[in-house]
Amino acid sequence: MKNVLKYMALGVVVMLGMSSCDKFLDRPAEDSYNSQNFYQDANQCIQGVNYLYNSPWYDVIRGFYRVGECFSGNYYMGSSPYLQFTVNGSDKELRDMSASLWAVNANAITVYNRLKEVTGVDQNTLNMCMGEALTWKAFAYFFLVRSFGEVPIVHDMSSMIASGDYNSVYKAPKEDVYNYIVILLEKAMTLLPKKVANKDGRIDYYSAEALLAKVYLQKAGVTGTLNQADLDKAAQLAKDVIQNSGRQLLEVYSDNFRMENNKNLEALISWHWDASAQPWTAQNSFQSDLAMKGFDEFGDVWGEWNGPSIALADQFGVSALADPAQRSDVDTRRKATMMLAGDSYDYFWTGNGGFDYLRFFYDDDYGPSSNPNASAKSMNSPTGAGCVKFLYGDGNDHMAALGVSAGRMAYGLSTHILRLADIYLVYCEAKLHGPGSSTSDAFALDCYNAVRNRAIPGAVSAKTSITFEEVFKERNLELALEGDRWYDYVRVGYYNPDFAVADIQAQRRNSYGGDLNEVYKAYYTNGVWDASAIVYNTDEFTPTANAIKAKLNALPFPSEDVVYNPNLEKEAQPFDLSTIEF
Amino acid sequence: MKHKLLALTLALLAAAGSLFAQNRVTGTVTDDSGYGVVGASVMEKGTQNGAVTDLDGNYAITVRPGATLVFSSIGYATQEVAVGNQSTINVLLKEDTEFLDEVVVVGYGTMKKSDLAGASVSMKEDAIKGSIITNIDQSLQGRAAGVTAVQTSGAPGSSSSIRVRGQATINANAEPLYVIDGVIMQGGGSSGADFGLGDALGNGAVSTVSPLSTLNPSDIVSMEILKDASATAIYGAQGANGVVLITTKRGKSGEAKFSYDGMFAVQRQTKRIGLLNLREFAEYYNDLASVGMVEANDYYSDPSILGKGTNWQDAIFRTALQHQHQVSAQGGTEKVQYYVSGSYMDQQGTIIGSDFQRFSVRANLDAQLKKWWKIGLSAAFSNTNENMKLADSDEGIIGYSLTSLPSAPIYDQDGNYYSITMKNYAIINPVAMAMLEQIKLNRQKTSGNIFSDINFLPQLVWHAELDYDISYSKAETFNPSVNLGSYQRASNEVREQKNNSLYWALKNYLTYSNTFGKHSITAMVGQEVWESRWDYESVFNTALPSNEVVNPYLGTGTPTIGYGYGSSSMASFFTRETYNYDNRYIATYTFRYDGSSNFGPNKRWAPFHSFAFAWRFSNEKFMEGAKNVLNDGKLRLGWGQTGNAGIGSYKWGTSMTKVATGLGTGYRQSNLPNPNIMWEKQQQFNVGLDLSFFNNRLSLVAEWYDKKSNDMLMPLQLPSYMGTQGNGSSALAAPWGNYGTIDNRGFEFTLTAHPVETKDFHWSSEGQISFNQNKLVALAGTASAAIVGYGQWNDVVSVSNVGESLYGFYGYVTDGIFQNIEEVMAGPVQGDGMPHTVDDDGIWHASTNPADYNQYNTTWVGDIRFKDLNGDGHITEADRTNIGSPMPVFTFGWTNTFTYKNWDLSVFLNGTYGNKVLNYLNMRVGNMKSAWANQPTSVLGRTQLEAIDSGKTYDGTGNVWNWFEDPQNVRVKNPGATLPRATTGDPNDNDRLSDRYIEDGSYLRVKNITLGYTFPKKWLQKVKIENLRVQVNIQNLLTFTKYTGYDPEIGASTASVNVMGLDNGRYPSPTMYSLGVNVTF
Repeated sequence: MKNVLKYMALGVVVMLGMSSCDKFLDRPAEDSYNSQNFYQDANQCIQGVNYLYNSPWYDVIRGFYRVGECFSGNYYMGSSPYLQFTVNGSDKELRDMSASLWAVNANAITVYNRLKEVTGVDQNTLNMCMGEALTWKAFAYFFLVRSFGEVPIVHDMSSMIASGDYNSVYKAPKEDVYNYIVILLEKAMTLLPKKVANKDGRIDYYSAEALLAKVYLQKAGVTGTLNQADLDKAAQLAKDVIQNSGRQLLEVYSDNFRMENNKNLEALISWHWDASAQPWTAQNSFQSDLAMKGFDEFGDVWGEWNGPSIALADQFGVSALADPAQRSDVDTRRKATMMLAGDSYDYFWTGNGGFDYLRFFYDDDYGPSSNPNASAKSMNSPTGAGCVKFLYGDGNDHMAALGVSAGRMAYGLSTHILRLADIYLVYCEAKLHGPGSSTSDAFALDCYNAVRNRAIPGAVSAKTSITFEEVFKERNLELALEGDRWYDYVRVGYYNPDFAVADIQAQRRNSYGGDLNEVYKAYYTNGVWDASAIVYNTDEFTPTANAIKAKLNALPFPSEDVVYNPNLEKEAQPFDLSTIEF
Repeated sequence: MKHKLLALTLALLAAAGSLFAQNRVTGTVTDDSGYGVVGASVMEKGTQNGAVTDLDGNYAITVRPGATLVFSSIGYATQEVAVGNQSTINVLLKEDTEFLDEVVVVGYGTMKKSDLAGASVSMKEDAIKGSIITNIDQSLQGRAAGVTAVQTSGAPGSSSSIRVRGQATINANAEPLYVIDGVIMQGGGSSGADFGLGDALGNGAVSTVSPLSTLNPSDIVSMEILKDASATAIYGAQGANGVVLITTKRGKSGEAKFSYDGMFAVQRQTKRIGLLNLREFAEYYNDLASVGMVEANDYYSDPSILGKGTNWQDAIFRTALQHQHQVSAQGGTEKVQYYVSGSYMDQQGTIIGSDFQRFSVRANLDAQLKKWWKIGLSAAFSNTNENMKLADSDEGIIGYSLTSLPSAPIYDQDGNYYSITMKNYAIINPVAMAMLEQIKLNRQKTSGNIFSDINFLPQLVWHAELDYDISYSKAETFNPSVNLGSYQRASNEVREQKNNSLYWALKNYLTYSNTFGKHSITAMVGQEVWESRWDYESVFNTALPSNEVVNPYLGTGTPTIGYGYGSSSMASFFTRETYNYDNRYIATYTFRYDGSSNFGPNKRWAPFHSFAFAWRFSNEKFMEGAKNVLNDGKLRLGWGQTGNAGIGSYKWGTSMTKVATGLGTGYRQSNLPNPNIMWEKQQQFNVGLDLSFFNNRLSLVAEWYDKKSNDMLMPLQLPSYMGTQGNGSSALAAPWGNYGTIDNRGFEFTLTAHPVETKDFHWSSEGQISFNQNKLVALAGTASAAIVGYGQWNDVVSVSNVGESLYGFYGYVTDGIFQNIEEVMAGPVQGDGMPHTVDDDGIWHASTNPADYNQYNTTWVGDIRFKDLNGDGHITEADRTNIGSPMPVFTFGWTNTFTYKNWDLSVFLNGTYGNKVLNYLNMRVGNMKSAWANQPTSVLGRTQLEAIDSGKTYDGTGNVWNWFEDPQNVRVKNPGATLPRATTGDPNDNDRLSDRYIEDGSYLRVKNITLGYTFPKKWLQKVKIENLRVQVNIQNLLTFTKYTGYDPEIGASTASVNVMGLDNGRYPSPTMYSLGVNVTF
C-alpha cells in the first residue's frame, strides 16, 4: 500500500513536470506596452512621436549653449575650453551633445520605420507623424554638420546593424550631409500638413520649409565660394514661409521666452519640455546653468560665475561699467537678453512684484515667499551681466503659467530653436553676397525693418540698402544666447574664414578685473556709481587664428568612436545620395 | 547526572551479559593524542552484546570465551581484538583515513570527496570564522584557489566582486551563482538603482549593496565552490560563472546544545593621503599668483602666520564600532533534529554617518517520519538596515574631502556647517554632505525550503523540494533643504521605493546508487522549475514642510509615482551518472536541458553536457609500494558546457516607455530588439591532480583550465553615431545579443602541509596561488570592435580590444616634461588648437615662432610631452593606447595556523600581483588646475619655472609683461620633476588620462591574525560548560603596496560596467581589531 502511495505521488509530480513549459516560459514585458501592441490608433501614433520634441534632445542643451554661445563670444564661462578654443574630443558636454544628436537621429528613424508599418490608422495622421520625425532627423543633422563638419550619414541604423557595416562607414563630406538634409526636409514637406497660423506647437509644412531655407543659406558657401542657386533657394523658401505660413512676429520681443507662449505664432520649431522630469530628460534644465544661485527655490542654480559677455554688451552698445541711470538703452532685446545693474523684470518673481537684479543680491529679505533666504549675497558675474533668455523665474511663476510645479532642474519652458524672426534675417542674408556686400531688395529691407522695429519701437529706418555686416550683427542682437550664433561664424567661415577670425578676435571675450560686486553694492545701497577701479582684463586670452579656424572647420568628434571605427580618421568619402529610400 | 545514567546503563548491560558470560573485560580506549575516546562502541563480534565507553574512554564488558571484541567509533578505524584470556584490553584507535574522505555537497546531491572528478574547493566553518566578516562572500578572499574576491567598497555590509577563474563574461552578470541549502540566492539586484536608490550610489551595474549581506555567516557550516564546467554543468544555464553551494547548520541528535557567539570590534582607517595643509597650500597659491595664474590673495600672503587648517580626511573618517551576537541551539532525537539561531549585528562605517545592522533568525528541522520517509525544513528570516553614503565618484564624500580647502573650517562660529565658496569654484562641505544626505535601505527576506526524501528501495531515493524566497526592500533617498552657500537646496526632496519579490522553485529528482562488486554507480534524473515575480512602487516628492519628518505624502510639490512589475521563469531537466570502478576509475556524465523566459520563442531551450574522468592511480597495484609516501593520488580530466542567461527579461522584443512631453504624453521605443538572442555558452576543459603525501601531512591540488565563453551576452557595442550612447533615459538601447568570445586560462595550486604535529604543538600551513590569463578573443562586427568602459559619466577610461585582456586602461603615453620653448617647438603638436603648420604629407609640425606661444592658452614650458604614437605630428585620439591592465597576473593567499595546547594562532596573508590601478581620484585631486581646491603633497614636487635671464625687462610688447610670459625667457627650474607645471587653464591638457595616473596595484596584505584560547574541558565541566573560547583578531593590519591611494584593493566600478581597478575615491577597507567569545553549554 505504502509503495502505491509513493509511486502515485511521483507519477503526479512527473506529469506536472512534463506538462507544457512553453506557456510558462513565454513572458514578454508585462507592465508596459511593446512595439507590437502600440501604434494601434491615431492618438497612439501621435504619442509615439511626441517625445522627439524633448527627451532625446536633453543632453544637447549644455553643448548647444557652449558651442553656440561660448565659441561665438556671447557668453563668458571662466576657463572653459569653449571660450579658449581648446575643447577636445573627450570634453563631456561636447560628447553629450554629440551622443544626444545621434540619439535623435536614431529615435526619429526608428519611429519613422515603425509608423511605415502601421495599418488601419488615418493616413493624414500617419503622414504628419512621419513628417515630424523626418524634420527632427534633419534638424539633428543640421546641428551635426554645423558643429562637427564631416559626419557619417546614418540613414537607417537598423539596416546598418543588420548588415554589420556600422563600424566601417566613412564620414561624408559636408556638401553631401547638407544635401542629405535637403532630401530629408523635402520628403518631410510632402508629408506634413500646411497649417496656416499654426499655434499647436507641432512641426508643420512651413516649419520644415523654414528649416530648409536656413539649411540652403548655411550650405551656400560650403564649397568655399557662395553658390547663388542655394542663396536663391533660401530666399525663395524663406519668402514663402514669411508670406504664406500665417506665422507672425510677436509684438513684444521678450514674449518669445515666456512659458505662457510655449506655443506661439512666431515659433516654427521648438523643444517642448515637461516639468515632471518623467523620465529624466523630459524637462528643461537651462535655468540651472544660466541663472544666479537662489533665483529659484530648488537649489538647482549655479550659473552666477558666468555671464553674457562684455562683447555682447558691446554689440548692444551698453556697458556694465556705465552708470545705469545714464544708460542709453534703446534696443528692448538687450534687457530681454542680458541683465545689468538697474534692470527689473515684471515677468520673473511675479509673486514678489517682479524681479530686480541688484535687489536680488543686496536685499536679504527679498525672494520668493517659500524661500526668503535664498537670495545670493554677492554679484559674482565676471562680466557684470546675467542671462535672461531661457530663464523661467521661480516656482510661483511656473505654477502660474503652467499649472504644475517646477522641480530640481526641471521646468516646462519651451525652447524655440527656429523662430520666424530668424527666417526674416535668413531672407536678408540670402539676398547678400557675404562680407562687404549690400542689397536694396525691398523685401529684404522690409524683413530687416520688421525685426528692428519690433525691438526698437519707433525706430523706422529710412535705409535704402543694408549691408551684410548689418545683417550679421542684427542676427546676433536678435538671436543672441539662443544657441545659434556660432553657426553664423561657421557659415561665413566656409567661404570667408578670415572675416570670422577677425570678428572673433576683435571681441572683448575676457572678464572685468576688480571688484564689480562692490560697485553694484554701493550703487544699490547709496545710489553712488563709481566703476573707475574696474578694468577689462586684457591679459586673459585671445584665441589664435589657427584655433578658431580649426573649430570653424569641425569640432572634435567623440573619441571613442575612433576606437570602433578607424575609418572615421580617414578622409571623408562621397555618399551616394541616390541610395536614400524612405 | 548524564554520567551517572551512562554508568547505570553500562552496569545493566554488564548484568544482562552475566547470564551467559564467563569473562569480564575492562579497559580504556584512547586515541593518538592519548585522550580517552568517549562513546566508542565495544561489541562482541557476531552478537548484540555491547558496551559504550565513558567520558574517560573506560569500558567494561562481559563476553563468552573465545569472543572477539570490535571497537569502533565514528572517525576512527574499526579494530578487532580477540579476547583470549585477557581481562584488560586497552585499545588505541587510529583515525580513519577513509573518514577523511569527507562527503561534499554537489549540485542536487552529495558525493564522497574521493569520487569527485571535477574541480571544486571546500571552505569549512573554521575558515569562515577566521575572519571578521559581515557577508559570506568576503570570506572567499584568498582562501580558495581560482577564486578572486575583491571588495567593492569598505563600507559595512558591502559587496564583493567574486570571479571564479577570471572574468568570463561582460555585462551579463559575472558573479557566481549562490545556492543556499539548494535555494538559488535571490539578489534583488546589485545596483542601487535596482532598489530605487536611483544613481545615489553611482550609476554602474554594481553598487555597494550586497545581496549576501542578508545572510548570517555564523549559520554556515561549509561552502563548496564549484569551478570547472564538469562540476557546474548540473546548473546548466546558471552555472557559467561558477557555483557557490552554501550549507547551513542542521541539528544533531542529542540533548540541546546552546551556544553564544559574541564579537566586539573597533575599526579605523589607518591611511591618509598626504594633502597640503593650510601653510603649504598658501605657498602653493602664492606661487601660482607669482606667475600670473591667479590674483594674489591677502589671506595667503604670509603663510607663516597661518595654522595647519582643517584636515578634512580626519573629519570624514571616524573610529567605528561593531558588535554582533548570535545565540543558537541544536539537538534532537534520533527521529527529529533541529537547529535554531538568532543573531544581531551592528556595524558602524568608518565614514561618518554610514552603518549597517542585521537581525536574523533561522530554523532548520529534519524529521524521519518513517523508515523510508524523511522530511526537512529550512527557514530563515533576516532584516537589514543600512545607512549608505556615496563615497566614491566625482560627487562622493571622499573626493570632496580631498579637494576641500584647509582654510575652510567644518563649522562656523555658531556651530553650523561652514560653506566653502571661492571664486567660480564651490565644494560641498563633505561633513555636511555625509551627515545630511540620506541614503537608506531596509531589506527583509524570508527564504528556505521544504523537502521530502522517500526511499523506494534502499538504493533509490526520490527527493522532492519546494524552495521559496520572499523579499521586500524599502529604499529611501532624502535630500534635505540646506543653505550653505554653494551647497544649497531650498526645497527638500524625498524618494521612497518599495520592492517586493516572490521566488519559488519546485524540484524533483530520483537518485539510484548501488555497488556491484567493484562497480559502483550513481544515477540521478530530475526536473526543476522556478518562477520569480517582482513589483515595485515608488513615490517622489519635493518641498516637505521640514526635514524632521520624511514622508513623501507631506510634500507640497507635484508627486511622481512609479510602478512596475514583471516576472521570469525557467524550466529544466537534468541527469547525472557516475561510475566508479574499484576506487580507481571514476567517470561522471551530466546533462541539463534548460528553458528560460529571458529568451524569445526562437531560442528558448538549450542543452548542456559535461564529462569528467578521474583516475585514482594511488590505488593501483603498482603504486602499493609507494603508499607510505604517496597515500593518495588522483588525476582528473573534465570537459563541460554551461550557460549564462543573466540579462533580464524581454531583450528579444521592444518595450515602450512612457515619456512626459510638452505636447502631452509620449511613448518611446526603449530598445532595439533581437529576437534571436540566446544563451551565453561556455566550454571549459580542466585537468587536475590531487596528491597526498606522508599520511596527508602534505597535500597538493593542482589544476589547469581553459574556459571559453562563446556567444557572450552583451549589448552590441555601437559607435555613438548609431544613436545608442546618449542618456539612458532617452537613447535607444543597443540590441542585446550574443556578440563576443572570451578565453580564460590558468593554473591553480593549493598546497597544504602539517609540518609539525606533536602532542602539544601543531603547525599547519595552507597556501594557494591562482594564475589567470584573460583574453577577449573576438567580438561580432568588425575586427576593430572594442568594449568601452567609462569613468565618471562618459569619460572613456578602458577599452577592451580584441586580442587583449579585458578592461585595459586606455590613455596617452607621457614622454617627459618640456624643459624649454625649443623642446615645445620641436613637437609633437599637443592639441589641435596649438600653433602648428601642416606639411604636404599631412604631418603636423609645431610652430617654430616663439611668439605663437603663451602660458595661458598654448603648450608651454613645464607641460607634459605626450607621445605621438601614430607619427602624424600631433596628439589626437589615435595616440591613446592600452596603458595597463587591471587584471592581476596572479592572486594568492597563505594561512598558517599554530596550536599549542589550548592556544591557537592563525595568520592569513593574501595579495595580488601585476594588476594596475587607475588613480582616477588623483587625476581629479592632483591636477593642479585650480587654486580653489586642495592638492596632494605630491604637487610640491611639480615642475617650476624660472627666468633664464632674470634681469630682462619688459614693456608689454606682444602682451608680454613678465619673464613668465616670455617664451624665450623661461625654463624648468627643477629638471628632474615628473609632474607638470601648475596651470589653471591647462591648455596642454596635462591631466588627460595618461600613464601618469596608472599605478601598480600589487599588494601583500596581512589580512587576518587571530589568536584564540580554548579553556580546558576539565575546568569547564565544573561550571557545566562544554566549550569556551575567546579570540582576538586583527584584520587588514598591514598592506605592503606601491599604490599611493588609500587601498589597492579595488573591484568593479560602481560608476560604469566594463571598468575594473578604477579608484575614484573607493570607500577604503578599514583595519579592524576585534575580541570574540564563543560559549557552548
